[in-house]
Amino acid sequence: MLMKGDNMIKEYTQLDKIEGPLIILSGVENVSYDEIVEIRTKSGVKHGKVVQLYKDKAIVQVFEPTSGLSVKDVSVKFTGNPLTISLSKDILGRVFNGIGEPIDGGGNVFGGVKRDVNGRPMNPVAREYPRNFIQTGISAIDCLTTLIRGQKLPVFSGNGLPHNELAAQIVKQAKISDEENGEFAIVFAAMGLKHDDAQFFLKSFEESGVLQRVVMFLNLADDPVVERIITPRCALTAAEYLAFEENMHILVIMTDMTSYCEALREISSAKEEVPGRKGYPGYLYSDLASLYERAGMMKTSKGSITQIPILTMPNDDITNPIPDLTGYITEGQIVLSRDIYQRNVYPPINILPSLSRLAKDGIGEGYTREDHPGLANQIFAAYSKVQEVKALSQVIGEDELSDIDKKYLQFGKAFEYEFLNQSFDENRSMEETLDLGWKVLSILPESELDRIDSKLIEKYYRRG
Amino acid sequence: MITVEEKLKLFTKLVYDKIEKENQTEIDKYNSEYGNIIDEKKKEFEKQAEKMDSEKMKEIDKKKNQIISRAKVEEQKLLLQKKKEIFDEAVEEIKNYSKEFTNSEDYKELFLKSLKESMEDLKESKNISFYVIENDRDKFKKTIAEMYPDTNFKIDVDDNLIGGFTVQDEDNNIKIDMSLMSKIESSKEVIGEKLYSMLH
Amino acid sequence: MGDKTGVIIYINGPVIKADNMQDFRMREMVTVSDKKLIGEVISIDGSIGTIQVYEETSGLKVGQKVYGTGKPLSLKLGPGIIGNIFDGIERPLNYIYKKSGNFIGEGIGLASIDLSHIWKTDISVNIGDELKEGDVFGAVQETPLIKHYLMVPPGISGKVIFKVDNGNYNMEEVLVKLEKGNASFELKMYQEWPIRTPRPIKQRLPIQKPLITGQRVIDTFFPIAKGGTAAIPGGFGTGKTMTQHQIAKWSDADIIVYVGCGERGNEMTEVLEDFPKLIDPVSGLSLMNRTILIANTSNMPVAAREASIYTGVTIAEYFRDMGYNVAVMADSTSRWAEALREISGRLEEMPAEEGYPAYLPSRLAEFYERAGYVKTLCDKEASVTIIGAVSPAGGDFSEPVTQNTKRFVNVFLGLDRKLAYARHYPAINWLSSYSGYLTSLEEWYKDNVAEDMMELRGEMLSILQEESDLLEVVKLVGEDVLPDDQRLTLEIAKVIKIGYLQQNAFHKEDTYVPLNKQYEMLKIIDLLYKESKEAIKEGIPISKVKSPEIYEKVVKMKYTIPNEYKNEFDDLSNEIKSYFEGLMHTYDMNAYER
Repeated sequence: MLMKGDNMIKEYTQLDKIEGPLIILSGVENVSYDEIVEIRTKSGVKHGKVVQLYKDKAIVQVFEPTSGLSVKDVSVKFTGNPLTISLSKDILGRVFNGIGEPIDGGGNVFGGVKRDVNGRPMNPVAREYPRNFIQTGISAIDCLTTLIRGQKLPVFSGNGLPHNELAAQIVKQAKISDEENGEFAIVFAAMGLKHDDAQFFLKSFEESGVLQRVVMFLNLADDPVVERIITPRCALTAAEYLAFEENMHILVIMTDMTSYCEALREISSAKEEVPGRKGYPGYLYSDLASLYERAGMMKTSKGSITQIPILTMPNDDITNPIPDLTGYITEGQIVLSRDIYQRNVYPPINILPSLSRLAKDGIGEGYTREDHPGLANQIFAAYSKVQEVKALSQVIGEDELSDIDKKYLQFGKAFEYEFLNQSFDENRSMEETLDLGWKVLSILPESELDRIDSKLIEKYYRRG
Repeated sequence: MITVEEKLKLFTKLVYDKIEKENQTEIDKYNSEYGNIIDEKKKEFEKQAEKMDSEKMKEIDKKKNQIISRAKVEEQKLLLQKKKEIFDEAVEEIKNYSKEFTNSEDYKELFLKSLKESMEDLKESKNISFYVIENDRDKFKKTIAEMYPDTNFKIDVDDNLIGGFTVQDEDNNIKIDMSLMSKIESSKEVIGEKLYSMLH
Repeated sequence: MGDKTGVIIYINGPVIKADNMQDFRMREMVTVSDKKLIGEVISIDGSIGTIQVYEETSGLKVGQKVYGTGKPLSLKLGPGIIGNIFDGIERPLNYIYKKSGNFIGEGIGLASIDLSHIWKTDISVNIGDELKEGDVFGAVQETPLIKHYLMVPPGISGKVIFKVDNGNYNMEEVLVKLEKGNASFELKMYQEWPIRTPRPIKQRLPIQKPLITGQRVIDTFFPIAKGGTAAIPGGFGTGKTMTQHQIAKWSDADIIVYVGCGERGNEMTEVLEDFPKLIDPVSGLSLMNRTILIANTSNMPVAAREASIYTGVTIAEYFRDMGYNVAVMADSTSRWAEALREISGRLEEMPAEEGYPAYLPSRLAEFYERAGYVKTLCDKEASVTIIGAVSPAGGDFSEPVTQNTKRFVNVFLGLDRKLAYARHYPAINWLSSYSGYLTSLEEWYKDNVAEDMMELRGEMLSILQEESDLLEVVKLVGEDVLPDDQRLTLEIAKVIKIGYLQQNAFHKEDTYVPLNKQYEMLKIIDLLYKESKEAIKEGIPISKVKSPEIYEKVVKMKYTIPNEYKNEFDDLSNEIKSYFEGLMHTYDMNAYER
């Protein structure tokens, strides 16, 4: 029964060349583009995928390090399939490595459906436009960069800034599912994450009691770099399965996208491709889009995928290709600021460059509260004016400022220390957040409120 | 006639009333002031107590969540481990069964059939290495030599194969794996699926 | 022709090479492997042909076949296009959805508008009529808004020898037969046209009409012309797509072709959900009746992204040929340029600036040159307007796509990150933007809006310019030390910025503002400025001149005065006049008493 001849697969026992993460073989037959390759050596099995074919030659990109590999003493098997992972509801609570193999000692996932990790583009006509907001309990987010179910909203951070805390707080406090209680889960993809940070997330998942609803795909800092290319794809494939086939609401946290992009750059340069900006490949945009665009909602399913990718901006530079291209694809961004963090404010969100594009359709009357859009708009305008006044006060001194400018400075302080600032455990309701917004805005005289409908000003201004 | 005493009495009463009235307002004033302060303090303390309470509650909640979470995950892990043990046992049994199978007549037939199939693919090759298990070397050496008289081949032993063979074309660096071990490996998925659906 | 086959020898992402291709032609459309992936021949070198594939190439193998189709990548043009959403090569996404479900699969094959659909057709020619290319022989009411004229395809002419009666026909039926000499031609409801070739016209005409968008900063300050070209560059979050959507919603083009090129899936879904609900201010009918969507979202195959722009503009030209004014929104041309770069990289071509191919400028020029105000083959005046969003890397306008685009467009609407941060929308920077159509359109504004419209525009712009110079000073010394007339300039500039330039896309009155209201608003601001200036000249301090009540009324007139205003502007102007009269009077009295 076991010895049928029909699945006879040839293996190749010699390589032409090994070059960084790439191996080149010749004399191959019947190989398909993008298929997965198993490379057996004395020390174990490595995996790779076909990235280029030319006549009888194949170039294979190996996920694990190629160090120790030799052109002899290997046997390479072409599996005939793209990389798939096995999925069922049993993946909840499990831990996988960066290429989707279980590492928690629980054995393989059997009996599930197999899915190609590359996924396929969602048809725009099949999408449902996201409109329901997710309350995170964090004022700066709920009021000013409202998170919408099905949105992709990245956190742009810098090294040493509390992006992990922020993400953990969102996971802990987010009311992802109010009516269909329990049908939510978190998919966590770590790319090049430090062990400490991974531990931090693990602990906070435990503390918020969601651990058994988390699926983790871990590629840690000392794990193979090339594997990172696959990690978010495995995670998103799992998310798509849970969201669109099991109808669950999925929050996907992907960190750190910067490590992902660097891995991509490494492979690109090994392939000797023409580099674009800062050495990143020209297709970085398309590649990132193939991840971020996997967020969303679908007409035929009750589930949703909300993505919070985290990236650390090299040198805190928002024009670096990684945040730049991310910002062009995602539906807004939450930008953390070192300045604000140094003023001892948590979460140190710089609201000015932060934005939630989908907020416009998910806030206001019928969603949050009638005054929300105007209030948010006014806070943005006022806080932007605060920056101008600050710059001026540095030149002429605070005493020389006009009375109204002094009010702006006062507003700026109150905004940062009372509105923005909240503790890691503080979970504010939408009502509290909006009222707080009015409280700090009430420092300014009424004549400065040029973005809010006068009826709403009458109703909310200096009410408390 | 009003006596001096009476006058004094009346006067004293007037003075007394006035003072008392004054005192009363003072007292009232103090009372209300202190009352306010006390109330405020009280509120403050209550608030603090509440805050401490809620913080403690949060702390407790966190710990509770942590313990429950861990326990749930632990439980799941145990279950998974048990399943995996059963699975590993099953695979081990299949291997044992396969070892026994190599002594049967059917096995011989299959071996030769696979041999023909793989040699079909390596027709062009002149130098070929076989790896087989100890038992099979003697069993098949002659047969192979008879079947392919024009081919240079050598036969080595690799008992990890359990049964079957791997054949390597030394000129073209191509290998074909027809070992029972690799069949079992590639059937693991099917075995797992069957087993886990039974365990569910 | 159709039975030649090549053999794949090389696969690298969307680029494949095949041998035995000597019989194929450049730009020929091909199908690849048994999956029938769609591709296009982009170079032939001896027997080796290079093909860009418009679908995912995972799973392709060396040795599989490439089949020729004998014709270049072309579109079927006929009724059924409007209100539809297509992928980059005109395959309806609804059809793909039916075939492959929620996620787009490959090997859908060639699909286009629904040829089996039955349309009520009117034939307007008679037997014996002589028809030439571009002539209308019939019409179909495609949507309540758009009558779809059936035209003789370019290059064909002759005498009508057969025609059907008015009635219901599907698209494959022969409606009219022409005869010329020995040759005869069958005319159906649709025609085919290669996407990379501009459709012929009779004559280009000079620009003369604006494309009215209802957006004040555009219509008043940087007008776009019908048949003109415009670019909207801006970093992420500055509101490119929002601006494009606003123009798509409210501009007075007859037909809008919206090309979502490498952008977000949700944005296309938003258009699909919103537009049917939005009402065209002119016709009172749903906006979807005049909108065509081409979607190649950022995660769809990159080669089809390159084609999507051409697909969009070809469809636009087809409707232009019927006599319509069509506007093409391309969001974003940078993604198209990047698609060019990616394919060029895989072809191992020599890169020029920032890895872009050396032919980037010429491709951009070719694309924008397909815009124009023209006389069509059937002697109608019509236009294609192209408005391209540009997404410069790092928000830096000096990068190659922005720079090269600037060379080929006449209107440049630069979006500013700082304005966007302060939520000043539309975040069009009034100092760096420009419109090259002012002179050509001046006449039109004079005849159709007001004699002094452009004059007022100039005045406002110079106040804004002056403000920007003054702000440099304010940054150093503060506002208080400026003399009152300069402080007035700052105050008026603020009124212009908040009360005029800022426009609220979510406010039902403010989202679209007709030109006459724009003019009235300008006049009010001008009056306020002149009266205030006069008062300052008289020595009245700015604190008195800047009446919070009056200024607020002016700033909020965009919300308080409806688009169908009656005498609200006169009332406001009288109020301003009487306030200043009163002010002058009390001031004179005070001066007299002293």
